[in-house]
Amino acid sequence: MSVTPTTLANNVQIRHWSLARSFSIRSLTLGLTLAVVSYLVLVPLLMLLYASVKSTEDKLPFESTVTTLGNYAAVFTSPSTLPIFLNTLLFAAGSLAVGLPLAILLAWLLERTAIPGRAWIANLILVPMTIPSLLSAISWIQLLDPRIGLINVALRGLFGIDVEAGPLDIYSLSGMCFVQGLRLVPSAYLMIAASFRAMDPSLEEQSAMAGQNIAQTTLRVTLPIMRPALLAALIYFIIVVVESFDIPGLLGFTARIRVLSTAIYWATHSEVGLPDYGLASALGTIILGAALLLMWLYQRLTAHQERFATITGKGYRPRQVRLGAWTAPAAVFCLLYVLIAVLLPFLMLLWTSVQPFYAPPSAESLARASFEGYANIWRDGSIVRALWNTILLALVTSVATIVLAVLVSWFVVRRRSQGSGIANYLATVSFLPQCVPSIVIGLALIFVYVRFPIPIYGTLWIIALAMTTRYLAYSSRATTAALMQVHGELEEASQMSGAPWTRTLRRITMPLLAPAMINVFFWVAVHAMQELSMALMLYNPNTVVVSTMIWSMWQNGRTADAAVLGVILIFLSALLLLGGQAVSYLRRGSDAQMPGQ
Amino acid sequence: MISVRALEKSFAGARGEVRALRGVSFEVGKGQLFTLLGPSGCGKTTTLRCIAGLEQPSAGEILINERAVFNAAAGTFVPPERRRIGMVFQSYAIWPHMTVAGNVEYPLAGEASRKERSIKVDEILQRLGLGELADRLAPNLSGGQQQRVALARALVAQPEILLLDEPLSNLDAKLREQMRFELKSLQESFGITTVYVTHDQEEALALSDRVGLMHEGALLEVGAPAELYLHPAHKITADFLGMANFIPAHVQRGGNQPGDEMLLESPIGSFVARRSVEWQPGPAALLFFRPENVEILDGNGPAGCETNHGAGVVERVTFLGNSADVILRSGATAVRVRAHPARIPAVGKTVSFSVAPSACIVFPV
Amino acid sequence: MLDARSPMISARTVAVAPIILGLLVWASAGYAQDKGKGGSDAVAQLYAAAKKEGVVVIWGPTDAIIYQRMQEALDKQYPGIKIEHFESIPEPLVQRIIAESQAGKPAAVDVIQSGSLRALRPLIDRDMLAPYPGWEKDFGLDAVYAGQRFVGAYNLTLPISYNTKMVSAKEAPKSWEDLADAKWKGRKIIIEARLVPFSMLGTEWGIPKAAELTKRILSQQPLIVQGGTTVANALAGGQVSIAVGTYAYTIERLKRQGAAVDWVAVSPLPVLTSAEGVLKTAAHPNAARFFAGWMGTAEGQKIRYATTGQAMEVGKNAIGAVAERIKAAQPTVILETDKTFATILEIQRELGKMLGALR
Repeated sequence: MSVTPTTLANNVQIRHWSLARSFSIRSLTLGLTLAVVSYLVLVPLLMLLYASVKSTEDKLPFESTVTTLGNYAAVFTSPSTLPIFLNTLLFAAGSLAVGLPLAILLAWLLERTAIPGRAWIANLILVPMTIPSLLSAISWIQLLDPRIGLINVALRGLFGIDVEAGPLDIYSLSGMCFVQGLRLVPSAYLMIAASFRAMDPSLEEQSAMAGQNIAQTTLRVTLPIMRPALLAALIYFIIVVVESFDIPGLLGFTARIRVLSTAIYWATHSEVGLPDYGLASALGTIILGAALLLMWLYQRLTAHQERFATITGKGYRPRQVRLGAWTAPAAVFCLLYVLIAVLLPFLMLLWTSVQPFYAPPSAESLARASFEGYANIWRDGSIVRALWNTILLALVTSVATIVLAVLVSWFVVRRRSQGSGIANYLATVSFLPQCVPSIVIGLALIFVYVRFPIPIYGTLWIIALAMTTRYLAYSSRATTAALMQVHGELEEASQMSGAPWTRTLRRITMPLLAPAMINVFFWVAVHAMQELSMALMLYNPNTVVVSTMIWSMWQNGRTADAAVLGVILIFLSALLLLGGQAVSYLRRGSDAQMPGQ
Repeated sequence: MISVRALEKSFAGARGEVRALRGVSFEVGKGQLFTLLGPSGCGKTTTLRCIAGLEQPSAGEILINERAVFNAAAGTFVPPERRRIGMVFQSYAIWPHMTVAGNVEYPLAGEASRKERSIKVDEILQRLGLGELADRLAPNLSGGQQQRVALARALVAQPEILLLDEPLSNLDAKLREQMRFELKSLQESFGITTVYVTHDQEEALALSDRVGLMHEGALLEVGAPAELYLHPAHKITADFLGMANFIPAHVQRGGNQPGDEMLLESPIGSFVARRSVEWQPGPAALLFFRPENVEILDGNGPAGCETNHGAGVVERVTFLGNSADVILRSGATAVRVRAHPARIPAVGKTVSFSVAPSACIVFPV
Repeated sequence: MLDARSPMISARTVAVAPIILGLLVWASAGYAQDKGKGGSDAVAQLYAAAKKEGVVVIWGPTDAIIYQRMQEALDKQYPGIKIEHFESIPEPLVQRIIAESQAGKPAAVDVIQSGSLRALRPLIDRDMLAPYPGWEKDFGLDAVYAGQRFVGAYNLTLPISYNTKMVSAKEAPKSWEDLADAKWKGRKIIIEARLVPFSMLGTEWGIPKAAELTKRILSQQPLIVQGGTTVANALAGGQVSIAVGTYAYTIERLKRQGAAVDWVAVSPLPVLTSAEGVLKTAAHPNAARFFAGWMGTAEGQKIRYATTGQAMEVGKNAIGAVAERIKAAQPTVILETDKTFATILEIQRELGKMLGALR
């Protein structure tokens, strides 16, 4: 069968090609990526599925010997189930209705218009993300509590309303949607902003020449072409809201609104010893099912991604839209947003850090204010070590996650080389960890690595592994959306210029992906510094990190100390952000830089 | 120099499989400019990309310079980066994060020393009139300049063949014409074997040594431009290259062999025409002739019933500058005529016309 | 007893008797003062063995700073034992201990500690703890549970707390039923989400009555959040008037810091029990037993109380402000023990369903 024609040039070997695959660095890398991602994801996933069919009353899943559908039965026969599902849908819809349009609007304003103070606002938008959720949640209560919340107090004063409580009640479904929606904005902004930036201006210019105004152009040209990015964001955040417990835990109990994550919370916080992993996993599996459905829909809707390529060779820097008369309202809007969503919670955090216990600002409480927390914190040697661990952990996790995310994205977007099947598999599998409750990931890793010869148990590496698994979902969504905008011909031109795959990646793909990569790096690092649930399952005396410290300080009533550490975390994150911008700046010379570039 | 044999390729479409290439075969001689011409979706770009190695056909072979870069049966496939081909994409695919010089130097990476590379880059930039733009960032160029950068990049490493995917389609008309000549002269002076893809028949006719007309995945005809224009073997070719009159007619006699004279009876008169390759014996046929071959006769009123003569009322006249596009209505049939600008008939007037038999061809219905 | 006429009793007996009597008196006095006096020998022996081991590894939620102070005191009184502590909530620790021992690699921990006994139930069920009678016998501690497998070092009392600026001592609720009174309706009460006090009440009243009361209180539109610290801060900040589910010692500490809060020793009064247990696989069993016992003694108590205000609040070794209040008010105390686990679990399930649990 083999025929060996003569070579093209002295140094070129003809490779034998079987219809299925060719040996090359690319296919090796594909194989490795498939193996690593599958491994990372399947371990917790299998634990999830396995535990969901185990009777885990007072037993851990791998101890229990009874296989049962009882967990699913409990879910579907409980009278609470229907209201829980309905509430979850409403909560998700409401939060997304608040958060996504805000994020899109902000991304558009900051990336595509000539609004003043762009660089500052873009940085500030990201600050809420850097506050550990435990602390930021408290800030929101301090702002919006019906009786003493500062915003309500201010509103009552401003409008002369004479009630004891109100007018805004945060303990309601709308209150929950509002706070959760705001919490989504930084992450959504990061995911979407890079897509707005890299637009071929000719696409919009044609629309403008046809007489469409800004709004029409945006709605008819810009947004549709960003469909993959927007859809990816939508699907990701649906699962995030469904699965996250911060807001339902803080506001939902009082509002008597029960959602899916509430049910998972109760299952995992047994008062008498062990979590009910069976039930928690059954619920997680249901979320998994929803995610699979969403992924299938997404893949159908974004099937022909050549349509969405906006970085071609032809144009790169979109024009700035002049807002004219709209400049002032837009600026006011941005400032209002920054004030409400960023500055106020941050100030509340600062306030908490100088108060022995929470009290609304007043002459009396001002007298109690003291900055000694900031001085004392350094005396504790364990805090310095925790900070060091945290930074190391964040960096390792970020790098690992980015590498994986970029590789996954490449094989998903440039799927022609290996077929849709593998691409869809990768896209779906990299998304699934988002659905697995953190403690299940933790338990799965404990189970595996306590036995495995790989000596990462009890070290920072196992926590890094858990986090990489978890953060792969967001990262790969972000890098995929960004890569879709890079026209395939740019890479093909590199191939035709004689470059092997690795050089194409290095000199063409990655520089064009760099803005998205910097975004993702920042996002992962910030989240890694705050991650709590998995750290609690996996950490050791040697691997204490700041998030567990904050948490245990808070539990022990040292609220001021916890807040001080929170403020320190914010500064660390700010340093990271500035670092990312410095990298962008150096890469691009004197072009005006913004985060996510 | 390039041999393409029996290429087959299918895509999974929305409603089952789409056969994008059906047994495409052609040869390109050394130093020739060969154009693949056809409407969108006919498979010309796919063929080009198969030669480039960016697509893998399911059957067939491709040889460049006698060496197989692809052979389905033998399982041979040389990846695109090893084929030493220069390619210009329709979108130019200039890398926006690099300067012009950076773009052009890229194919030379790893070869020679920095100094030698720099010399080669300068040379090609000068050759293409881009010398001043070497340090400009790629997006800050006009369309025409970008196209030339793409060309420079494709040529700098002295490839064996050059592939061009609709390189002029994004330029305005004036620039297009100008670049046409530049391209041709470049190609000739470099003597580089070139495959050119376009849907613009004027371009194809102007530039090519040989043209291959593609339709729905199959290569219909290959030939020199004049050959295809004057003596098309297929109706589609006739229709695609330039303007055409197709008049349904009945066969009176003749037509056993391609090229034979035939007598047709049509609503506009009797015509003697030559049989095309495509036509199969039967009663029905399509009479074909080009508008520029219709001669409007002097004199008033209809002429006698000679063969290859007809008459009609001038329905519409469109003045085009160097000619006039005239629609004659003869009975129910519209006949399109290209008239000299100095002899434009008045609208509403009845004129007679004739078409030489050598300019008439018989095609199937 | 001594008969002068009886020539059989020798002068020696007369001389020795007072001495023996004296010794007996001295011994019994010492016994009354510290039960471990006769057991103090056992303690001393245990210390010697502990010193040889040199290290005790303890995992639990106790604040690190407490262990620092304890180390200082220990170094003075009983030098030679290093405390290696790891601060974390007990739930993941318990899971890890079980997982690791299941895999054949027992965790490197000697003492597992928890703020409440029931978190360690899984270890009891799996018989992973080594009982030690010496805590009761030799150290003289009475907070011993689960067949002498656990000893307690402090209590967490769950009273009803109130904000003194918004509620006078007279107006403050005197009983759990008072909370269902109409005057507390409308975001005036804050409750910790896991409803622990109500679960404890169920062990005294029975599940139906506890569930009924809980339901009525929940319909008062209270604030419900998880975490005792959040609850306490809400009270101190004047966000609510009444708090349920925060600990008495927390309220006392806030009081000391100047907050306008106080608590009522309602009857019945739920009191949680901290628990330290020594694992069967402990590498330093003697150090473990010794340290766990020492933490329960007056000495250990004093240090803990001075640092965070936690201490034994009921029972023999109770000290501190909370203990005084309880002694004065004499409420019915519902103490958490290992006998009530099953009931608490059942109640928890029942109550949890009101707040979103599925089963």
